[in-house]
Amino acid sequence: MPSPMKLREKKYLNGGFKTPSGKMEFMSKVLEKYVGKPGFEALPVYAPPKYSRESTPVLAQEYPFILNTGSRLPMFIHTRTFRLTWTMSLRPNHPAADISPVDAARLGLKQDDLIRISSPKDAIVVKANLTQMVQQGVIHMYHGHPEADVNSILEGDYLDPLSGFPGFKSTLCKVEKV
Amino acid sequence: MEKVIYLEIDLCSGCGACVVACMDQNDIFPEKGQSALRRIYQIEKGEFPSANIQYVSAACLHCQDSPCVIGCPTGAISKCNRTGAVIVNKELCIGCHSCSLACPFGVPRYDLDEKMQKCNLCMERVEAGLEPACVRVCPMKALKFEFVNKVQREKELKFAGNILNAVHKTVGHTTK
Repeated sequence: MPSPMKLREKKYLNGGFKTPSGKMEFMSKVLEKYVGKPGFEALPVYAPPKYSRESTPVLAQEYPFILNTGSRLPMFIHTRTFRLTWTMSLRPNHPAADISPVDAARLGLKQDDLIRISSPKDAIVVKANLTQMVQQGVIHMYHGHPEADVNSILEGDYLDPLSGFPGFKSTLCKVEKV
Repeated sequence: MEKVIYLEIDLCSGCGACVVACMDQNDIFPEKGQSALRRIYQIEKGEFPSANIQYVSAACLHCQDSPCVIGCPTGAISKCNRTGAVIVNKELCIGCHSCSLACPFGVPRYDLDEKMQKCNLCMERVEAGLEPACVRVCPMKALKFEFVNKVQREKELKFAGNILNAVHKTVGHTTK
C-alpha cells in the first residue's frame, strides 16, 4: 500500500512553480508591485536589522553586542527536549549564554560567572559559557529557559518587515558582570 | 578476543545521544546528583573563526591489564571472562577511591551511596547478543561495538587509500 504521508515529488514539472511567471523568480513579480513603498524590494537585497550597528549606531554604543537567541545546541530540539532532566544534564551550567573568550577577558569574566544580558526592553541573568563557537561581539543565548526567557527581552514588534518573522538572530544587547 | 566499544573520533558531533541512552539503560537520575557512565567533552583548539572544535564521548575503556582491578583492596573490581567488561561488585566496594587514584583516564564515579559506579559494557545486553545502549543510538555511527583488530583493519585500509592519493598527487601516475 502506498504511504499516505508520501509527498508528490517534482510537482513543478506540470504547471511550474506557484509564482506569477510559473518560473523560479530571482526577482519577485509579487514584490515588484510594491517597489517604492518602504521596505519593499523586488530583488533580495541586504538591509541591516532594525537594531544594529548600521541602523542605530547611537543605540549600538550602549548595547554593543549582537544577541542571537536562535542558535542551537545539538542535544536540544527547540524547547522540546530542554526541560527533561536527562538532556538538560548535558549542559549542566544552564541557563548559560555563550560568549567569546576575547570579550569575556575584556569584561573580566570567568567561566560560569553570572552576567546580566540587557536590551532596551528588559534583562535576564544567566551564566557565562566561554567558547570559541561564538564570534567576538556576538552573544548566543538559548531560548526556552523559564527562569531566563531570552525572547522576553526582545520587543514584541521586532519583526521582519516582509515575512513578519521575529528578529531572534539580530538584535542588540549589553553584557555586564553581576 | 572480545568486542570493544570503539569511538571514531572524527564522526562524533557531541549530540549526547550516547549519554542519554546510558542514563536510560542504567536508570540514572542526574537531578539527584548521579553521573552518567558515559560523558561527552567539547575540546576547543585555536581561535574563532579557525578554531578546531572536536567532541569526545568518553567512558571506561575496559583495559586488559586494568589498574583499577589491581588497585582495589577488596577485590570489588574484576574483569568478566565472557565479555571482557571491567565490572564492580557494589557489595564488596568500600568507597575508598583507590580505583580513582589508579585509573589514568578519570573514569570512576561515585554513586549516591559513595560506592564506585562505572560503565559495565552493558553486559546484560551484550550477553543477549545486543549492542551496548550508547552504540545502538549513536546517530553518526561514531561509536562502534566491534573487534578492535577489525576496526583497525578498516582504518588502515582508509589510510592506505589516502597514501595512494597523496603519491598520485605529488608524482602522478608514473608506475604501472
